[in-house]
Amino acid sequence: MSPALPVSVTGMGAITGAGGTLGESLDAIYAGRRTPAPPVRFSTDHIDTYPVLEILGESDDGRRGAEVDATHTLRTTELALNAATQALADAGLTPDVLAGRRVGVCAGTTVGCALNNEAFYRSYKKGGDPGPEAFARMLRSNPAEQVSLANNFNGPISTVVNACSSGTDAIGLGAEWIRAGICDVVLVGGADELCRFTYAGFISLMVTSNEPCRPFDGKRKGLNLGEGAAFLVLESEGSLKKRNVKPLAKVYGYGSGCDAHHLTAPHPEGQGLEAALDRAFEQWGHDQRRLSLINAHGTSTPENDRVEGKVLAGRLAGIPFHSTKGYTGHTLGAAGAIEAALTISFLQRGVAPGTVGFKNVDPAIGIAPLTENTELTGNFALSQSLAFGGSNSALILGVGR
Amino acid sequence: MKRVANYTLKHAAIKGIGVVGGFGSTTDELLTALQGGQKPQIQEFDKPGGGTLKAFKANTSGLSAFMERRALRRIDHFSRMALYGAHLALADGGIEKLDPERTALVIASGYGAVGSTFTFLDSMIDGSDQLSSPTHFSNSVHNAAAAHISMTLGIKGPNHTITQFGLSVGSALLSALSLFEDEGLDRVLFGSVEEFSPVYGYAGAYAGGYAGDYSSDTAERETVCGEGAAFLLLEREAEGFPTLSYSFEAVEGEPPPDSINALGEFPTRQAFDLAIAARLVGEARPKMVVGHVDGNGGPTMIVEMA
Repeated sequence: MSPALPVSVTGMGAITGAGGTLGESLDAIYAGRRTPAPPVRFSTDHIDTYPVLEILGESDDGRRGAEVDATHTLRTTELALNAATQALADAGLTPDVLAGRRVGVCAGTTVGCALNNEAFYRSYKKGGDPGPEAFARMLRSNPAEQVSLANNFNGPISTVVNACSSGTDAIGLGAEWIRAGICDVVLVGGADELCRFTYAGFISLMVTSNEPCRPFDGKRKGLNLGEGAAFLVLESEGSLKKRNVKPLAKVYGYGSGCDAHHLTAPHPEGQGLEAALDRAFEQWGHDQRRLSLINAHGTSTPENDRVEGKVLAGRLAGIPFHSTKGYTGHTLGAAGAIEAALTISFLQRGVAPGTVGFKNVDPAIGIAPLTENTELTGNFALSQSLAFGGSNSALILGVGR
Repeated sequence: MKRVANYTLKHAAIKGIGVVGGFGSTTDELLTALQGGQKPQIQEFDKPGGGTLKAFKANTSGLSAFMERRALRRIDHFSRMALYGAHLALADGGIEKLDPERTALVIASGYGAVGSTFTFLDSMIDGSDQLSSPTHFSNSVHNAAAAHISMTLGIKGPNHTITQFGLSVGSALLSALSLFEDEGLDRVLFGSVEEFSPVYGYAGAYAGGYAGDYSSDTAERETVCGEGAAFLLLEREAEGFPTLSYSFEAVEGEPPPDSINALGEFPTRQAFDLAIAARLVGEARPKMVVGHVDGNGGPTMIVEMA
């Protein structure tokens, strides 16, 4: 297979538990700051408390530079609009510039497409008549559709629901729309809010830690959930030439593969991840030797980190890797997009942050992630995601430093 | 309809069709229902505040011809419908064993696994957060059906689930056809699955259907809900098989008529239109067009078969 055409990234935006913008998130990450705490947006009757990375304060209310009615859509949509607006501004893409361009939106989510409104459902169960508003609100909240409608885009929309690899897959699928000549510009990303439903669900699976998470550490106990959104602006070469701008970065490769093994646990040998890497490297036209960084999925669950660690210590041995989940929490459908935006930023700055929470090598993995801010010498990085349902996906990202 | 903009993706050959819904589990039964013959049996469900909801429900008992009952124990109705549709499509295509690495799976679902979602909420509300069910949580994710199909059929290529409510099928088809750019893939098993829930039926019925205008009139009107799965086994274009091409079009005007009377109301009904169009094209080779319109006023997608 011949290498695929690299796709340019011209703008990025993010809102995470580490910061209200991509820049603020980066500042916190490089400073080693993290703020896991019990959830405050909802209460639960769990005896133990499980810290999360929530977005609190003014940065969570409404997207920047545009109005949004908080009662009209799910919070996931607000987060998506926030990050998308940041990304468009970063790219310098105003409505005037976008006029006449074919603009698509491809976004990942998990919560942003489900009716898990407890108040509505409790009323329904009791034989009440809660009305259609909760349902209608969900219908109004599809992240890809709302980002498209809010900006009067005219291209295709697609919301990817591949669980925790959704954000990575949305970027890979959106890049294909540029390559296929379907779109001049595609906003790609992911968004997910934290809610009691997912909080209780992950605790029920016994993969959640009651302490700040410790990715790849020998004594890791599980993940911390988070919430947030990130969007990247992908742009065709024709569109770039028209407005005479240079890309921030490029998507060089994308691949996905399925474990076909278990509903929630990864394949013990990482078969699906290996297949995803094969496809991503084929698209790129190079192998792992040119990589200078791997942003691992690194959720801090015993199983994920063991399986991912096996692949990192195997075919990817010797390449510096880290996990940023300690700073952002596991943001599910947004995770791959947030981590792609962070990874590009790390390459741009030439410095990879350490893995907060890691202290001791797990003998079952045998290697350690980066533990402090580390200078990068190369221009290419891998960002990878593993998900419920056995989905695995990988992105090769590069900058022209 | 006025076509405002369009593009066309690669064509693909349809090698197998599998359908399951209130009408039955064959394209003959679907065609009969579409032609106004044997009507699917309507089931009624109590509604809060009195009255009943009507729905065409799918029967998945035939899945036992493909899978042992024991293997189905922890698989919910949503995923069972998808598994049944997928097996039927492979059987129709004469495929006994897939090449795991060279096959991809793409599924469209407007609402996802609603049964397991509400059962999980039941476990939280009736019990406690601490007693909430991990099995139901695992099955509540939108890609649960894709996961069960990949595990059962051993599909190890790309595996995507797309949700876009009324535009889910067209949106997922865009991803499915894009995968043929990958020379390492020979087949894409493409399908849709939608599960009826009395909760969704209750809320959707307020506005005369799921895609109604919630802003103006919430007067209750009669709606028959539906559910089911429709799968197409896609391969690279080949002589002698119906081919499917896909256009994205921003269309102004009225959407084309659809198959609501035969199937009931649910967001991914268009996959059945594709299935029956493929069946008819395969027999008589006319050209057929199936439109996909986003109920919220978004873009339209058009699929042509020849």
